[in-house]
Amino acid sequence: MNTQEAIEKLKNKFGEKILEASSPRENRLYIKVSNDALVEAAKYLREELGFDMAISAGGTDYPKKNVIELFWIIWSSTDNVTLILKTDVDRENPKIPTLRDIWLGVQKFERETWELLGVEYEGHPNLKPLLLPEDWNEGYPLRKDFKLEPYRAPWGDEEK
Amino acid sequence: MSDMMVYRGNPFNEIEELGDGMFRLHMGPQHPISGQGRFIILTDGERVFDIEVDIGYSHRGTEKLLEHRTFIQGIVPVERMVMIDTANILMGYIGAVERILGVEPPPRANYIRTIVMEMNRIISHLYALGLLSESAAWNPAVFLWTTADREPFLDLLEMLTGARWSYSFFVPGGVRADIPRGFKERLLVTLDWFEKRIDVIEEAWIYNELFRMRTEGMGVISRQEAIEWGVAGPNLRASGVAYDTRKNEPYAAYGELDFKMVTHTAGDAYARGWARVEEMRVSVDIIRQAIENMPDGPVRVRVPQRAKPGEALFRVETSRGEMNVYIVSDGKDKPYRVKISPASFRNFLAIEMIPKTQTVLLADAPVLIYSFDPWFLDADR
Amino acid sequence: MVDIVGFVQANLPIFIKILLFPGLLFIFGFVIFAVWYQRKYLARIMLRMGPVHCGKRLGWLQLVADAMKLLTKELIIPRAANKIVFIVVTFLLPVIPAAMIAVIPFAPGYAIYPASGYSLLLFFAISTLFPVVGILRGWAANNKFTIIGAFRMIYLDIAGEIPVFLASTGVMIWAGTYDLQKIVELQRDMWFVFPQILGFIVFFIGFLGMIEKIPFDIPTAESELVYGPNTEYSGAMFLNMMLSDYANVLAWTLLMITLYFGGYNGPAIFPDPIVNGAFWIIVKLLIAISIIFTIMITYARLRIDQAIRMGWSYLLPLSLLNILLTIILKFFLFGGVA
Repeated sequence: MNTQEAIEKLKNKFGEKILEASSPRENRLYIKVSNDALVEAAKYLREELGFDMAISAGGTDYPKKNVIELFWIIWSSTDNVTLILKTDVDRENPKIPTLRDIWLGVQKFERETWELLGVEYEGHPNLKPLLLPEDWNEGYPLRKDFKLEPYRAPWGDEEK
Repeated sequence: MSDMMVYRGNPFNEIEELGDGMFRLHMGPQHPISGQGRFIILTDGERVFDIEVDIGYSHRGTEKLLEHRTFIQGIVPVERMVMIDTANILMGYIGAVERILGVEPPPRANYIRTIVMEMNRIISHLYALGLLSESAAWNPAVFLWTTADREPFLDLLEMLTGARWSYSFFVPGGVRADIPRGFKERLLVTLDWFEKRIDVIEEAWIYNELFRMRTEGMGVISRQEAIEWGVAGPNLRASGVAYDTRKNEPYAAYGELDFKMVTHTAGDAYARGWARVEEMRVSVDIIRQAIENMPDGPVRVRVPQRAKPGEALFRVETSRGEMNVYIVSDGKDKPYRVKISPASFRNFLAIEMIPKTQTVLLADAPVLIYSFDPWFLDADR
Repeated sequence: MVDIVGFVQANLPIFIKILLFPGLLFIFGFVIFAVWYQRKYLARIMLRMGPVHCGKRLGWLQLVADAMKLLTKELIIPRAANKIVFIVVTFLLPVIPAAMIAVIPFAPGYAIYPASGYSLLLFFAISTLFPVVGILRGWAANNKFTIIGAFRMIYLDIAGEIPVFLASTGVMIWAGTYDLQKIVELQRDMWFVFPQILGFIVFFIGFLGMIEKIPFDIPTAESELVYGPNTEYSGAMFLNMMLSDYANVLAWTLLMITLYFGGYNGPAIFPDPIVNGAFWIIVKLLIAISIIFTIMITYARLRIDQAIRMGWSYLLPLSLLNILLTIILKFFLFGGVA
């Protein structure tokens, strides 16, 4: 199955819910779904299209658009295609159902994203601090409005 | 006298009862095998019921740092993630940056990169084998042997790049320097010597009866589980999944070279150790081919300062497994977001899952952990 | 007023035995030598030099430096530990191997406590105290690692000591005596390792378990238990633990030499029988510890379940078979069990 076929199938199945779909290079598939169709799309990708191995998950903060774009990177062991599944969540109240029940491999990545970006993965069993100290309460470091000033070296070589 | 006998509970030292004589054993961060992390083991004294990997003791916020640095300034923070495997880790970042800047390195640079990366893989696998042997209590014999065997490769890397570790040798658009005079001859001599050393290591260690008793049938991951849990690298191939980024999505010069992918079907700790030994042979083979077939030409091209808005995902096979770097650019000279998903981070999930599926004894825990070749600085970023 | 000088003069031979050879000085000397030898020997196998800074290339002063460092270090006692037991055990533990050595003959009629007629039994009787004191130190420290280590020590000792005892029963039957002195004298022509080869194999494997070195260093397993029951000891108390550890190796190695390798027997090089006996027993000791160290460095550690299974399923039946064979041989070849 090539990536174009996969895009066709997804568009037939979910129609308007697929916001973007592209395949900029061989073996790459970028899909963006609206967040209400995320779980069904993920199930469909896993069961029908054979994307079975989770290799990453995370998010990007867009304060101007007031969204956090979440992504899950999944590899298909049968077709050797890498999928980047994306969706937007509201930045003020970032809640999204977890995909951990579909791809177990994203469990730790989702936990890390919860910690560093403040995205609430609903149904995730183990949302507790992983990389940061247990008593961290200074915000979410990967958000764009996180203040680096207290942590910048006094001779800082970074732009002001 | 009387106050000496009074029990003053120390919260960190107390044997915390969890019913049925179970307690949590904290291996690390101060422990002979723990490294910079902590393994919280739920045990009744001998049987392990649960392992929880507690990482983050050396979290440096690499992803955030990269957002505040230009593309070329990002080399150093990325490289420091795994000191023993710098070239492969750096290749992930450089590859993603090149993809987003839209440049292709010249062919000769690709071949030089391949040689450096494979030498790094040998160094890293030697270190991993040493740690695995030490976790099965080989006094440090094998560990020191493998440490000594790394030296000729470190010398070669110093000759090529000017540093034994963290050479920052790869830059977007190529490598910093061409290979020096006399390097090829010395490399070939070293490879001949090293092939004999692999035989020695294999004989002393892989075929050792007691080592097999400790590792065979221990920590088995089936093919299905390996895919489910997202295991990476030699650990994945030891479970029978034929995935090697060098083959599946060739980068650098791997697409033009002919080499074997090491796979095993057993999926136990022994297979993972053995897969690493065999991969060192494959690496020797790759280096030989690369140095013989190296094309002429420049080793570096000019690259633009700014990237077009867009995103790129680059997958690279580091020694510990496949790492992927996902870069989002907003058209500036700095990345908007870099997501690095290192191999160790994925392998820790498998370490946590294995006690849930099979019997693991306390003595197995270090062997189990080190059969995955974890690297905490890698996972912490 | 007690006449101390007179008392010492009257009992000079026994004081020499206790204080010089094979008593205090010999045990200390052996421990210091064994630690140094282990470091240098293992270092060569590991392709390195071992200690080279103190005491020139041989590094012989390194141990003095280490001992001074340990003696001047702060004694750290965990707050949750049972302090009295924790401290007393460190003094008690080295005594047990020393008492075991007391019954070993080093020359004809030369042992601290000859215990004629039952010295082998006495050796085993004293050796059973070692794990008892061992579990006390694990318990007293009130630490998870020490308590696991102490329990492993008990498991291993039970699984190892029974085959060892039954294997030496073969020697007792073959020699017809419990007296180590007589056992040694009977080996003047032939070492017992030849007629008792099966028993020796069982004894040797069990012996490696008793001295708790790799592949049986399960109680102190470094990769999971840090240092087993000794984890919490520091400074001079750690030094005492180390001392008792190596004295234990010494005691068991001496027993192995005495039972199977002819004890102090050897060609007469020195005219004095005591010097000659001591010379040969030390030569045999050096060969034996070299073999132990080589095994230490070339094998991995067994898991506790594998070690116990080996003890109960293989060593125990083999040692019983050995007793049977010994009785049959003795009965048919030499006309009856003594």
